[in-house]
Amino acid sequence: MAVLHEDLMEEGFTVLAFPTNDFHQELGSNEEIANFWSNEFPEASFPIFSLSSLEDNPVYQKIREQLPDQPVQHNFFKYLVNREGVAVKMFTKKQDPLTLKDEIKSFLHDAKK
Amino acid sequence: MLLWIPPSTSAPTHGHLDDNEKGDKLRRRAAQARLRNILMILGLFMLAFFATVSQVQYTQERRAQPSLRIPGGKDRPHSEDLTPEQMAELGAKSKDLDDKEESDEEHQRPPIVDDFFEPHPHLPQNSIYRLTIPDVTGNRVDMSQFAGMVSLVVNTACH
Repeated sequence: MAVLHEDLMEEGFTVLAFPTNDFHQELGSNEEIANFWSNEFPEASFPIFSLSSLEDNPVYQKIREQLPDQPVQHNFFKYLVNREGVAVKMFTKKQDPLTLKDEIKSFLHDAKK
Repeated sequence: MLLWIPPSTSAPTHGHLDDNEKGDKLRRRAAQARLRNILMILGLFMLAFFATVSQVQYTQERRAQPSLRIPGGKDRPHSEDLTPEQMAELGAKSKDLDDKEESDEEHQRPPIVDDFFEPHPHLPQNSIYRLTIPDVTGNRVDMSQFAGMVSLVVNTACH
């Protein structure tokens, strides 16, 4: 994920990380999460938001309106969001971030035109 | 120097004026015109300044209380033109309206009607880049900084 962010940052791409305990695999507090990220992934330069429940998270509330038939079912579900801030596509947990690189790249170039 | 008006050197004489008196008179007229122009420009600057300040304050207030709205709005007719029965009816109606708005606000904010104070007019209403949300260190992040970028929203967990 961090690699993806670094590689495509220059072309106008960013990862937005939302820690959540909805699927019971997250640490208990923001401090622990901040420590975890700085210890395990010091290279991650993308924004990491506050621990929240996706039910209450305003970003996910908007995404649910935008893609009502594609809900998050587990951790590491990924939504591709266009330049206007509207989600256009969902990827499941199983899709490795690096395999999305070409797709994101072509989306970046299409969106430019 | 710019604001100085030369005093008249001699008592005004009716009829014939010599060249010095004519020169004085012209100079005084020019100076007065200059003074008028300067005062007008200063006034315009102050007006522009106050307009900017009040606009900034208004925008900040709006951000602090995004759901702030005058109930009833502009469309409420003038109360003097109405009979008591109409007033009562109107009151009940606007109360219903307010209640409805309050319950709607839990799901979504009422759309901001005034385009002039709209902070991100180019983004669609449902854009996630209109939000301001806290990050893991507690700072509030204005998502509009990502407007124009493609992003990948991921729900993460450490284990």
